[in-house]
Amino acid sequence: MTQLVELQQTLADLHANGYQVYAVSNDTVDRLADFAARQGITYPLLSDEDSAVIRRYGIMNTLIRPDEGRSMRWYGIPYPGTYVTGPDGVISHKSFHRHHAVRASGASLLHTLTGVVEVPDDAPAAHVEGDQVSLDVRLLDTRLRLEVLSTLVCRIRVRDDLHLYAPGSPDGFLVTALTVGGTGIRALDASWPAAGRLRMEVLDLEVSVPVTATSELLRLGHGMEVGRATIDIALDYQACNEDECFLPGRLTHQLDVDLDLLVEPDGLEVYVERLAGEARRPVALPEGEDEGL
Amino acid sequence: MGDPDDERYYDEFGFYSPMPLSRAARREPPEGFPTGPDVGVRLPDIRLPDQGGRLVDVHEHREGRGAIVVFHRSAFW
Repeated sequence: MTQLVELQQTLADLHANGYQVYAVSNDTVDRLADFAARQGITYPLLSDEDSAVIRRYGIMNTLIRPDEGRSMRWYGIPYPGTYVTGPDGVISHKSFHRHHAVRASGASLLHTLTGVVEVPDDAPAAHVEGDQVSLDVRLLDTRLRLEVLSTLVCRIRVRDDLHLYAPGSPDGFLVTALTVGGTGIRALDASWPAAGRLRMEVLDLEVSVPVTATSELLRLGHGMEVGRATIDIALDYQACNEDECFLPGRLTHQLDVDLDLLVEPDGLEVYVERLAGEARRPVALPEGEDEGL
Repeated sequence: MGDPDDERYYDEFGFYSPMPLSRAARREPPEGFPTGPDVGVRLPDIRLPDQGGRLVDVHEHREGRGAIVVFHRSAFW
């Protein structure tokens, strides 16, 4: 839902980089037509109504029984994920997450595929200057959305007569470490450039950290009207030259980011109405007897 | 709408949705769930109608460009 709208927003960039975009679900053509018209989706939304393709791919969600959620067509949905092919049609990249709500933003996907860092002018960014090292952080998206992975690009520059130690160096070396977190912020593993033996070979390192805003923000009383969140970033390092090492250093920054709501599905209204109906009933439906949302 | 302060609406990932956890659409797969064809193989053929009812063959339609194919749960819910 949100992902499909985001892809539309990144479509021109994806096309410019040589990619066509397709979405597949077991929705009917009518429902896809309605969604495409409301959200202005121009790329193909493909209807696999009997889940034949989803089954052939071996990714049908088998946790749902045929009798569950008939009106919403729950049975036959895929485990959500993305395949990317090169011009030869061979899969070059695929991405599946256990949680259905976790997926890469369009800008993040483009960064993974092309290495291109195209940062919107209004995306949050900061520069922090230390004695031997400087840190630039930029978010690839203007805003964070709940559970949609964006990418925080952290650029670490080292004074050119010095070096830093890479992860995996022996005890006694203070390895370079980047810590990203904050209330309601989840960071996944960072992608570090390849390092030489013991030390970072380059003095200008670009580290990508997938980040997302989590539902914890809703607990903090923001309700669905979430506003802003803060990403805490800390870089620990020890810079050395061939003769001596400086004291270990730490650069920190707090990056304030705007939050966006998820795109609410039309079906949610149906669901909210039903939920209100259930609340009025003295006894809730037994588990497994619900019909759809 | 479910209450964001109600623990029962949060799943094992800490994700909140107004839909109770007992609902089928909130069941998440175990570790190692199937993710279909692997990197390095040709994307299996997809020939399906689009939102306008036109039949689209992904490999023909992409005309020699790369393809990003997103399998999603629904555009409706």
